Amino acid sequence: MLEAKNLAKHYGVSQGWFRPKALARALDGVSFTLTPGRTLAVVGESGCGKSTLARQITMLERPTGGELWMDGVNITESGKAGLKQVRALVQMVFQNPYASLNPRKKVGAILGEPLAINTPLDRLERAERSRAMMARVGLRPEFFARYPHMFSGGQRQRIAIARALMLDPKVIVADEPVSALDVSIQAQVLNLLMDLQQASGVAYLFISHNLSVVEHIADEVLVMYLGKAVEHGSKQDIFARPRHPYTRALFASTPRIDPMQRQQKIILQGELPSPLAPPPGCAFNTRCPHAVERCRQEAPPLIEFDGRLVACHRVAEI
Amino acid sequence: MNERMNPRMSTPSIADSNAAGAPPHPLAEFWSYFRQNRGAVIGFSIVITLVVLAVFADLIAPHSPIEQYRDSTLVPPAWQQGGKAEFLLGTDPVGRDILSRLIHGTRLSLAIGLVSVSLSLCIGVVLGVLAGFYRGVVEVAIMRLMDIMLAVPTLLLAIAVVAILGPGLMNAMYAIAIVMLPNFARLTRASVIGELAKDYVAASRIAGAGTLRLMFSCVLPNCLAPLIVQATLGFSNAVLDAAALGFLGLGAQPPTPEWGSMLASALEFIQSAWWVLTFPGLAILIFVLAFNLMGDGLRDALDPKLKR
Amino acid sequence: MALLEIRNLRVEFGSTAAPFIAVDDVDLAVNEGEVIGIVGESGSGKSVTSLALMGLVDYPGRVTAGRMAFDGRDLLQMPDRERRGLLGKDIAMIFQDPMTSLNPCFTVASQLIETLRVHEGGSKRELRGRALALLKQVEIPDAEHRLDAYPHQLSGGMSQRVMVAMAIACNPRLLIADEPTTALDVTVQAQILELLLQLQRERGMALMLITHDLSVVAQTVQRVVVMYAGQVVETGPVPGIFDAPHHPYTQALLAALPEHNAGRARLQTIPGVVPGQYDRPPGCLLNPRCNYAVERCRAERPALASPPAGPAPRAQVRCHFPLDADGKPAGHPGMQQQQSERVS
Repeated sequence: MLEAKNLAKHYGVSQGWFRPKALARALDGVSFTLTPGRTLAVVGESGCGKSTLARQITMLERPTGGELWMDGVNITESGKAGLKQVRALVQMVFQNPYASLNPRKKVGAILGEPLAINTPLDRLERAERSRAMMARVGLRPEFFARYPHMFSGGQRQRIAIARALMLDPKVIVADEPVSALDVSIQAQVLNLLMDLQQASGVAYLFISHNLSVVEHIADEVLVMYLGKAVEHGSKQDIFARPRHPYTRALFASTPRIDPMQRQQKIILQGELPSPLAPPPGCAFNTRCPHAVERCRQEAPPLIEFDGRLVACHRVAEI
Repeated sequence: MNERMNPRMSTPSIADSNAAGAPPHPLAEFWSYFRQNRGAVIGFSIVITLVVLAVFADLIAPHSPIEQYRDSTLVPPAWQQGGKAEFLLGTDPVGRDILSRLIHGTRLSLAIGLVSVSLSLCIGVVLGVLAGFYRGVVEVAIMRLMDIMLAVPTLLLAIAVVAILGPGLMNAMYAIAIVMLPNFARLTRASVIGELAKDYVAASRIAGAGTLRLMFSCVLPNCLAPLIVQATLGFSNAVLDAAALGFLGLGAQPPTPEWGSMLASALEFIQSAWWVLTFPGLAILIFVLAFNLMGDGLRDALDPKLKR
Repeated sequence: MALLEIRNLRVEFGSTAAPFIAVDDVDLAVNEGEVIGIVGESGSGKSVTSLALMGLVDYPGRVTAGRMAFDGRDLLQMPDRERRGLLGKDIAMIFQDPMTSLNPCFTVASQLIETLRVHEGGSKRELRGRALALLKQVEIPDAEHRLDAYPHQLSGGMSQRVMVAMAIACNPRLLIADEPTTALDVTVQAQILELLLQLQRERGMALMLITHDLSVVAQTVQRVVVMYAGQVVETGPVPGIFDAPHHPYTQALLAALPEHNAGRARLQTIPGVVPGQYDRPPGCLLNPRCNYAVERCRAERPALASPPAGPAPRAQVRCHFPLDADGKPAGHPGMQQQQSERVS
């Protein structure tokens, strides 16, 4: 349905007047396919390019390289008119519930805006649809005429989810939708997301750095590091046996209540390299406990191993 | 509440409860913040009084502002020796009742404030929004023009404009509007750039909003707070500038009872007939003070960071 | 004698007639060298508690307590000057967002040196040398150059390390960390927690970790205090409190974690929301959301007491029918009825 082929996005960063612009490779060749009713989780930390990926998929920016196909249409080549048609099919839920709703608009207006832009419905019809959607996400009808600041984080996220669904999209990009919420509210919102997916068959691109949430909601997992995919496979495979050293480090760093589930601590040294100056060879080599000379010279391709795709020279050995 | 502001610190809001009624209307909430600032409330009441005076000037003023009582020139205020009861604040050199002129002058001052600020606001906001949205060459062109305008002393700029357009109250208002333009443009641009980075704008873009809708329906309403405050303060600046222009003979022409020109024609009487000078000056002072106090109160009440 | 002793702490905001009670009757005791975690969601009052003990709650907040003592010294009656001598020296605090906790106008060196100079003094060279040593202790790479860096040039993890360095500069006996890793990535979080624990071991300082993340607390602390809507609802040792929670809220929180819902299609949730200012129920604050609530819960506010299964080391629970080792409420009328039905 939605297919990304080698998506890349490079930003030019000015270095001053007399030096040439540096290239920040925020996204450097990521491919995946989204199917209806299934969730692809993109896992990574800050600087891995997941937010950039979200911006390319929702067509806020045009990728500098690669292709994006939606229902057989090449979006990357489309003109403005073509984009307009496809926009309604991909919507987004943001991380910060306190910044993703227009503070000066009432809930009814926020929900009605996508309809006002894209459909010829009149005010009453829009209001009707908005109320129906509010009921679907579990918001009380009297919230229609209230302003966002009157709501808690969890309720705002529900409003954001309702807004994303107004145009009946096929894909929803959820950028850390529950990271800013309390545990009990997180559970409510995750349940809501899963219920909605089951009812409407929408596909989720679920961006998160919280592996326990990902384990619950994802069908497929894509792990990113510095703009590239380092591991990509089904949730079961990756959670059962992570192969890439970075994936392993992520798993080991995730705190667990049950001591049985905790893994050997892998404390990564160093910090994420700057995307302006990625290390030669494998981007992870500066922090990898298994790095050898080859890793510092040659960037590993994404190859199939053990039922998934891994980008590591030494994957068979470690 | 002094909880540290962080995304997780969602104050369990009134909206969640079944017991409490609907949360307060934003206007009611705003009024309760505004009310807490005593100076602002005083300023606001004075402004209301001024508006009432202006609207009902014909009914309230004891005399016509332009009628000259040839037999009562330079009459001192009623409580002084030689004063007459019918001319409470005295008369000016050609026998016009100062009180009535002041009251009618309120109308003019408010009109000056309103027209200049509205004109300046509209044009400045549009320029600011264009600069903030399009960035690049458009922004540079607009902002450098604003910088040039700011570099010239305001009065000089106003005089230059009036010199081109010719003296008169209307032209003075245009001049003042132009002088105030850069402030609104810069404020708007700064707010717009700040708001554009926020998620809700991205959400509207993803929903397919076009540039015009993004500019005026989505972003601009969120930039209003500093603009409202600046506009209120702009009222007082406008009156001061009009007074200065009138003082120089470039603004209101006689017999218009504009406070500044009243001051101008009264300079020579500073020793002999202090009332001709003092009362228009006091009127300007009260007007400017009231609007400034109100503007300060507005800023505090509208500042989201102070929201409790 | 406990290092930190707080009894009946109460923090209110707003009008005296209808105040918002952010912290309600909280007792807290921290021993020398102990690692304790305070866990709660939004509105639980955990941050306000720590601010209150530091004396950082400004007007219009009102702080009252039966007793608030650090190392035997009464914090309530302490004059401001004396308190300032205590803060940053014997009690230190690090906050959640490292990007806003450091002053953007000053270099790392000047901020570190400021702390040292106020409490200990010394020549410029000495202070700089100590600052460098501190940065090396918190494992900042290339510490020499980072000393002269400005906060905006540091990443989140680096900034938090600088904060930790500032906090331990004067060898505090108690370090309060208010959500120190919430804003950080998970690998950086692991590094910072490891650092905090290492420093705690080396210096024998007490560590109070305030967080909403139960799993962080499970891996890091020795004792947990669970707060809800301004009250302490349970305290207990780790891992006992997670294996067999005594309070229904703790049980429900654990049940809502994705970790404990493996294999389930839907996560277990706690219905409803934390009570706000205007809807605090008369009885137990959890009763509108609690599965086990009965009439007594709605009428009577429970007090903090020892759990039924005998006094575990310093374990307490605030519930009329605290859960036993099987997770069933002890003495609960509904349960008893079921049990008697089963028997007969």
